[in-house]
Amino acid sequence: MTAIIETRKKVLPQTEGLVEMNWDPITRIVGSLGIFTKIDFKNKQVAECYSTSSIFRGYSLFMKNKDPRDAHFITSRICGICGDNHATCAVYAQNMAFGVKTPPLGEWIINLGEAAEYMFDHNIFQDNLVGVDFCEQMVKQTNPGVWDKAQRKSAPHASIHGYRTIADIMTALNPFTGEFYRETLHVSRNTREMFCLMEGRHVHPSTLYPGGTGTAGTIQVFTDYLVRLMKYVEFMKKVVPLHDDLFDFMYEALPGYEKVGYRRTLLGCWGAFNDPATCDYSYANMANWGRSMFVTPSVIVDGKVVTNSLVDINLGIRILLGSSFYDHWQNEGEIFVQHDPLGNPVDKRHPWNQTTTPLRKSATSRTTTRG
Amino acid sequence: MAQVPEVHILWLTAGLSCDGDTVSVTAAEQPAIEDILLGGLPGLPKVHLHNPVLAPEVGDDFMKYFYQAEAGQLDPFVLVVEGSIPNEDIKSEGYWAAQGTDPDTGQPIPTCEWIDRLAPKAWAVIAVGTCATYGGIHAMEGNPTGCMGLADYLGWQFRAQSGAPIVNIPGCPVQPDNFTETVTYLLYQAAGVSPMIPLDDKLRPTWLFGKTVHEGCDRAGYYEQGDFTDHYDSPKCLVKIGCWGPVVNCNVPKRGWMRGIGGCPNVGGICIGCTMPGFPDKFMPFMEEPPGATFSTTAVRSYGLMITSLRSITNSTVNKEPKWRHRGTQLTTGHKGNHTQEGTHDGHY
Repeated sequence: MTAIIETRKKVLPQTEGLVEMNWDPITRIVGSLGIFTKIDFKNKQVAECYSTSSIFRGYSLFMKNKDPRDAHFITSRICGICGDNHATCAVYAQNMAFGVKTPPLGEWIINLGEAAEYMFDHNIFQDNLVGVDFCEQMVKQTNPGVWDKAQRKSAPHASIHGYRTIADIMTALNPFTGEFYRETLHVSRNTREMFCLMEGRHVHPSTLYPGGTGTAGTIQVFTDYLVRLMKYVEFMKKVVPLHDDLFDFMYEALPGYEKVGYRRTLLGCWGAFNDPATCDYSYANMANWGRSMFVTPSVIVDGKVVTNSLVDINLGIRILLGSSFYDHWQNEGEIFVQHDPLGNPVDKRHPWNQTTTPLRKSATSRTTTRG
Repeated sequence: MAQVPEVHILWLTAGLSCDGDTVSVTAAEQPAIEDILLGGLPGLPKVHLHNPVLAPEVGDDFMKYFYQAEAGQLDPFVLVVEGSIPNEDIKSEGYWAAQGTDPDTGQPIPTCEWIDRLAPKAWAVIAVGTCATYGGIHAMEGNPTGCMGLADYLGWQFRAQSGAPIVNIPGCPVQPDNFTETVTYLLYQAAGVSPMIPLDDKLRPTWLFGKTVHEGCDRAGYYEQGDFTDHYDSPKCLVKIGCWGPVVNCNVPKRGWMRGIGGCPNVGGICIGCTMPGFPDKFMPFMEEPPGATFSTTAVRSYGLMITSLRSITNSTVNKEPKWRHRGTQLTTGHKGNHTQEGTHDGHY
């Protein structure tokens, strides 16, 4: 089975010359994030850093003893930007638990809904949330030198996207007043209409059920989707070269910027878009139908595929509570599952055996929890 | 009400929320959020929005508006609260929800404290989404936080500086246009051109929540004909498979989710009552037939079957064209005009 690899380097304790810098809340992100750091400016390194999520709701506590058919309606409410992904995963889990299968047309409706969700996520994330970090307003304030360069730098793909200089792109990304910010917001509404055609409502869908969808799969529904999809494709033909121009410029204007976020390649994905021709929602066949998903599940370590078996990926998942304000359940918590349906051992720290225990005695004065 | 040239909107998403109401509101088009912010509607005050999911500012730069509002420097401001209000009094330490760090103590500032600081000074207070209005999903039975709606926390008799009660706009999430339209109404009220916002006893705008899902549902015709589905993939009435539409205050089937597209029972999703004070507990298990529906559907079925059979006779009649539409040399329309070899254009039209 999958081995857990220790990847975190120990931070050397250092106290001299550290500057405390905190950002709470981090905006333009869902989930009430705060970042607290101590920065070693002499060596240009972040010496200490921790994050907080300042809201506790307790989903795994209040979902206990509820009718399992209701699970997807409830778990959707965990997140207001990717509620659909939670609902879809819950429906997959319900199908496996009940031994039922979504009919092929229903599976395509779920897949088209998910696809619209990904398009929406890309739009709003890239240009209405993250994009603001690259807007005129922001760059002028944080990197005046970069703004000067951007005004002089002509955009290589100007003939495709219509913005003459990089500074013009940055101005177009200003929140609400920027032309491209507004255009993206507009297109994100188009993708949300596509989502609503398949799943009724956005951000919490109304037509998903275990074993099927309530959407009447008429010719009209698919025509309406197709028309909007092609508008999105046309828009993206402009967006991709625009992003290329903007980010290529940032790498050029800020040497070392390409190192931001650079780290060991450790990637995990449990796949997306089931193929109704092979997916029977049985655990015994999960490795097979997982591989035939249109986005293949994988674990990648240092650039190499370690496994693409959903059974291996599932059994390798652990919840590690070392840095959070939760008590671990290993000693006290109930063990719900010892073995999977194929007879493989299931670890105590696997999510199937999870018990949420908010820490009663706080380790420090800050009792931040996440849930 | 004196006219005001500028209004700040301070939006706390740090209730027990999912930020889904903010995200939903970015879908609005009647009006769109940018219509409100960029002066697209004549006569609105200039609006400054401070929402953590959308704000360009981060950390202290974002928080300064909340301190300024507390100090009375942003008058008038509208306070929008998203998420259920946790009960911070049921434990001896820690907190359930917070936003920002107290510069003096280094401790998080609980959301409840922000509400205590800002609500009494706000020109209007809006609770957006079912969590903030009535508690919602996070307030379901067995929850550890003891959370509740904003009116449960501040008191149902609370009055903002404008004299208006808390304005509740429920929905899980809120229907995008329901929110922006209500904000627009309040801004016109602030501008002195609209009277006090009309609210029902659950503090909902009457024009949005005065009708039931059923009254606006395009499947209600199937109900009237006693034609109920017992499976998902059907255009017929969903009451037998768990739809609560006949007793739920919500305009979504009528208005659609956005640009008239989507919804719940009108597009095949059972109504789980997500706009209601009793949500979710009084509607669970969601996928069971509501208790009252057994009686009402039985009662309507005999009437519906009879009416349907009579209608099918009439329907087959009206599906036939009148008999005078045909080729041939004879005119059988009943026209009494003077036909000549030259034609029929004899001025009788």
